[in-house]
Amino acid sequence: MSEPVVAVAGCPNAGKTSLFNQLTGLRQKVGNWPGQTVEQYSGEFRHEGQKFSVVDLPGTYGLVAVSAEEAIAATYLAEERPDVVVTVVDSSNLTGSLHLVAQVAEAGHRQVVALNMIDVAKRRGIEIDESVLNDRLGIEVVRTIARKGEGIAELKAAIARSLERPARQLVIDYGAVVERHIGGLVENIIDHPYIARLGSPRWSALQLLAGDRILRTKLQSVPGGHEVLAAAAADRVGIAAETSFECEMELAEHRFSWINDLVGEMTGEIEPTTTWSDRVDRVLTHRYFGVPIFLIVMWIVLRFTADVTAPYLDWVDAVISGPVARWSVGLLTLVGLHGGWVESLVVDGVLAGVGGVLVFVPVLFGLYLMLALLEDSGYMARAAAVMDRAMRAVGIPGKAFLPMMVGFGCTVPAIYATRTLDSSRDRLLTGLITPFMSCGARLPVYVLLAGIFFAEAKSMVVFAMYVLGIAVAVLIGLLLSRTSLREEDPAPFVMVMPEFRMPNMRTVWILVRQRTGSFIKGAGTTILIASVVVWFLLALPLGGGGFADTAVEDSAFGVVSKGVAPILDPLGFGEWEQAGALISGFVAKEVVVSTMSQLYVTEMDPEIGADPGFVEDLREIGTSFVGAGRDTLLAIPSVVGLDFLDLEEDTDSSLQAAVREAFEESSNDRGALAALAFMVFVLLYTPCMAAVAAFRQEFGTKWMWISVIGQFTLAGAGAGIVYQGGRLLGLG
Amino acid sequence: MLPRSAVAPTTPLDNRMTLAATERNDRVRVLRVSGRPRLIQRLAALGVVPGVMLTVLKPHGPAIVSMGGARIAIGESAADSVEIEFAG
Repeated sequence: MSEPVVAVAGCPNAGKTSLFNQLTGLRQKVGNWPGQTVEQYSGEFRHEGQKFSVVDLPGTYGLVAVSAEEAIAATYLAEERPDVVVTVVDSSNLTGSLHLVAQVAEAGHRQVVALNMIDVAKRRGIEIDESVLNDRLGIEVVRTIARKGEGIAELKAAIARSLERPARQLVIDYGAVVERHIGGLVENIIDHPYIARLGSPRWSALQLLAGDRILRTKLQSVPGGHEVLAAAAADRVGIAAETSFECEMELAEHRFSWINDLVGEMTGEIEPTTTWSDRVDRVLTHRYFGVPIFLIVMWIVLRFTADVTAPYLDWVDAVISGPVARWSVGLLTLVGLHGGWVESLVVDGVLAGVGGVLVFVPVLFGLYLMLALLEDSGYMARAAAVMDRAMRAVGIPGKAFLPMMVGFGCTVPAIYATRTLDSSRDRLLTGLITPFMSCGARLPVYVLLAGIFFAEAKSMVVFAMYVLGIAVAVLIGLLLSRTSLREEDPAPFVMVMPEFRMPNMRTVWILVRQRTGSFIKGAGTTILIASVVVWFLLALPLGGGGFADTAVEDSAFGVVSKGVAPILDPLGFGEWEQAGALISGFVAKEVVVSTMSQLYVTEMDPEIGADPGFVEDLREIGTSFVGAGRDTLLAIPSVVGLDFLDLEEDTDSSLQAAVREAFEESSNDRGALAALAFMVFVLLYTPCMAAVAAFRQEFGTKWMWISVIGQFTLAGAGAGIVYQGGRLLGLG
Repeated sequence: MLPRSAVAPTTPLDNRMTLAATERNDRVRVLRVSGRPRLIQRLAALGVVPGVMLTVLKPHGPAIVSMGGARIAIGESAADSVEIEFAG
């Protein structure tokens, strides 16, 4: 017999992810749900020699799916029928959580309830008698504090025990009228093969009466399904006529009155208490202070990302271009390939690409760390609440805030994160504006150019780019919500607020590791390929010379870039190298800087001259890593404005000097203005191939083209306004 | 006959109280939820249904209410759709 399958279900913010992490430890697999882009986490645990496989379902409030993620959870439970469902209950929100417990029981699943966050409930003055659930529903209940790992061993034992019991189906009394219709509908559908396969005709009848769209869609595609749907439609009309309530409202009211009775038995009257979390909330979600506080938090996140991680960025860069390049050349010399095109491919193509990926790891790690801390502490939910009114004013729902925040890290997961929104209209609108949130890969372009041309106001200029991105997103949102995406029934802002808490380092670490890892795997491959392709275009001689032995100007890449360059001339960056950097940036923004360094610095040999020796190299790597750690610690106070570390700018490296010269040249000595226009262009045009691919997958080819063309138009217009406007004003 | 605008009262006659008109620490009972279908569906899924008792922790921008220990944030326009009565 194969190992039993355990599905972990739960409402959003009930601590489902923590519990899953505790159950399975670090041995997790990340995949995708079949035909979906939503990540599927699975793992396993052992109890007394028996192996169990565990699947983490997306968060859901019930089994009648509203959002795309809820649909995944509901479909999985209906079609895969796991052996046990562990329903994670937020003890401080029993009413909301028991809705899911009731539905899982009504669907006839074998269930174990994890009464989670029992500590939060206690703080809020809620005493729970969980034996009621066992007595009334035959469901075993285990108290857990998943964040601290409490109750996990007991939960494993309860899961194992539950397998020995038969599955039981809960029957809620929906009142005479509804029950009569349920009975009639069951008679009508019980012989249909698809309904029979689902197991419980009563549950299928309830889902049909509730208007569940998953079941409806399924039935539309199977033989005889239309008859089932017609029967259900007749009963829906009948119930509405006899009760003068809409059918789904009538069902919800009976179910909640049943739940409220149950909760009353479990807890008695709950004395309302005010916790410190509530007092913090009054400040953080204050009508007037909420938004300024949010902006300050964002500022700290960006400063941390830019400044505190910078020393590690330099360290990674130095290690790749120094010792690693030297060792590679050394190895190639050993096998007799020194000086040929192979060496060029390895050093200028592969190593440049690997460096281009790794250089981002410290920055993204820092960003993901901050975002994970904000998420796990509960602040993200407050930020969405604070931003909802402001965002609603421009037609964007407050929930869009999360994908937009994720967009500051990487556009690709941000596009996928739009799935948490409730309607396809909200998803599309958010998907269209999210690419203007400046992603982590665009940051190095700003850092490089702002460092060269605006050394005094570097942070300010970088911050201004982020603000400009938000402003463009808002304007586009405003435009779309008034025109092609106008809607009559906007999604309301209603959400359960998680309790404020100390972030759990294990949860934070797992999040940061997964996201950074997926950048290295996902984006990393694209970047490496792009880097090799750019190298190949650079090596292909169209204007003279031999393979991998031609001037960049004469290479295929140079020829294409020269063709594009004149179009960019009115924007202040019409040199073919600059055009080339932007072309490679269409593949991935990460390679804009590395292409520039390839184009401007390729002629130079990496400092291969004096080889300090392998051991020396290793020692240097270690010493400089410790140095980077020290610099990082010194940079932390600067995040809140205290500058202990003299941010002595590195003396212009060869790249900085070359870039400065190029921008002065392309703009008749208005280098700063041209650099600013270039940054605006980088901010606004398509983030990368992967983002375009993600967008197409989510919203279709038509909207992909609209999005891509729109982004290029905006980028050209934005850069043009900055450069030509600046010239007219006599700036630069 | 008077023009309609002269007849219409400046305040609603039915004294309809909503969540938007409450103050901090008010105890209220939900009477009904009106408004657009999506709002009703969402509130129903979270258990904000007629008869339920709420404590107002923060009335505005957005409202935050405590319901059986849970904290639920309700945007300002949504709060205006939740009809309530005061319950001591």
